[in-house]
Amino acid sequence: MNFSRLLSSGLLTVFGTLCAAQELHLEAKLQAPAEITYATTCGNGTQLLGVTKDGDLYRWATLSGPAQRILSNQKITRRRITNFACSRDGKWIAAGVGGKEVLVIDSATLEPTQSFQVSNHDLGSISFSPDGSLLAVTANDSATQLWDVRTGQRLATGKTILGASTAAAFSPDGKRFLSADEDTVIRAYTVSGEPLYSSEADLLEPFGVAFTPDGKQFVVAGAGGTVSLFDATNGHKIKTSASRGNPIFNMTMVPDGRRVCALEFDDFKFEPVALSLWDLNSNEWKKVDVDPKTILGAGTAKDHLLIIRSEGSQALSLWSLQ
Amino acid sequence: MHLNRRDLLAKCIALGVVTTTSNLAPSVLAESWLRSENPLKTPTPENELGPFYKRNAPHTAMLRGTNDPGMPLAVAGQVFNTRGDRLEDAKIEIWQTDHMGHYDLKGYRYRAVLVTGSDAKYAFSSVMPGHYPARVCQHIHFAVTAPGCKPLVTQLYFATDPVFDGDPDKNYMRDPLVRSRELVCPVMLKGDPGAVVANVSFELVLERL
Repeated sequence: MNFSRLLSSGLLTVFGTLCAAQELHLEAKLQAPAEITYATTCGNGTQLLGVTKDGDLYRWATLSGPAQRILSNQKITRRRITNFACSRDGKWIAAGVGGKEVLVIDSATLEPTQSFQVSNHDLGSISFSPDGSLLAVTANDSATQLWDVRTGQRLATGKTILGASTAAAFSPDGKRFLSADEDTVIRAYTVSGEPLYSSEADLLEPFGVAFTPDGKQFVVAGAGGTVSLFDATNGHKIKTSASRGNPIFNMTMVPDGRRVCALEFDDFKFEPVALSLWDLNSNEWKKVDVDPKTILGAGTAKDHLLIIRSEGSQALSLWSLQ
Repeated sequence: MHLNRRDLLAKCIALGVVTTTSNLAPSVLAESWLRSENPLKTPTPENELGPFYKRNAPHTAMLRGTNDPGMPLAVAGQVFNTRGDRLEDAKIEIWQTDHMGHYDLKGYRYRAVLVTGSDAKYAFSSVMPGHYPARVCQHIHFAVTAPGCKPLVTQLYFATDPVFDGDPDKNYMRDPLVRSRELVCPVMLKGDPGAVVANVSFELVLERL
């Protein structure tokens, strides 16, 4: 059977679906109140958070129920929700509002409990510590800032030689955090803000940083299209992957601790062009068979990665990556 | 021992070579004298570093290759601190797209490091950067460091950018990242027909630590 007959008979489509099914398994399909532009998971993958094109933040408390509006851009804040995160236990939600302020929301009452003024321009990433007591926030006019969720006090601010920070990550024991900085350096601090070490990743800027689940190593991905593995005790580089040839602007550590999931972007159009997995042991890349333009975000369950995809203007789907 | 101008003035006042009826400290008087010679300068507005900074760029003032397409561009200026002192040994890192709006991520095309001499001047030759979908305006990135000063990260924009419709005063905010009109510089065309070069002067002023 030749290629054109495969296409006309529909067998090639079936084959493609089977390939995708080996990696991505559909967990749930959810109705959305409006087009969702960015999403993540909460509470070990049992809940979902998503922001609409208009900047309204919604939560799906279960994977079978309707979405609840948490913050309305128009009615409550009058400012767009730009980014958000959820604590591991699902008790707290942090939302970047208007690009400058972070609101901490009690997920039981959906009421804001704290707000922090973080930036004068644009917030970057928001990350909770494993116990949900601290937030690491990046912004395009500041190095990583560490905030106390309960008191609303800023505990520490990192330092860079040039520019700001792009991403941050806490160690699994919650005692340290890493800051991926625009001057191409990864800096490690204690949660009281004491510098521990600094490491150079790629020659280009880093955009994602994550510890391995055992906390012994960490990975960094960035504009150079590589992922590098480091020893988390001293910051020494262990290995660097081959470059994908595209910048990696989003990266998530797979909970198995063996793989990194990277979203590659076109460096001219800034559109996602591929979702890829890097194996830390074999040092090999594998492309995930999925349309990258449908990806709204990623999250983690206890033992696997979750990918959230758009299903048109009023629906989304949750897929587990095996 | 090498004395800078400020130290020398203070020493002259202290030794009586320069006399004063004021009972202010020599260092304060020297500061005042220098301030009258060098008017205070407003720091260059900061602007984002952007996603494609790359360390270890080559030391060169010629970013343009012999046969590179695009409008030839010559950028020059001086580096000062806010007190108006010329900054020697200031390190200027620059990076930009080619004329079609593409950054070189694999190598160092249109990336360079310059270091100022005793006159604090810098200059480089390049091409007018192109537009690309994720950014509205043509721009060149600058990261400047100098001893005793806060690092400056900024971007240079061009008054001739078609985005401004000939009126950068009114239209500079069409690119949401252009938050300061001062970063949009006039462009002067020089040279013979067939060999025209766009010339831009861009002064860099760093805040003191």
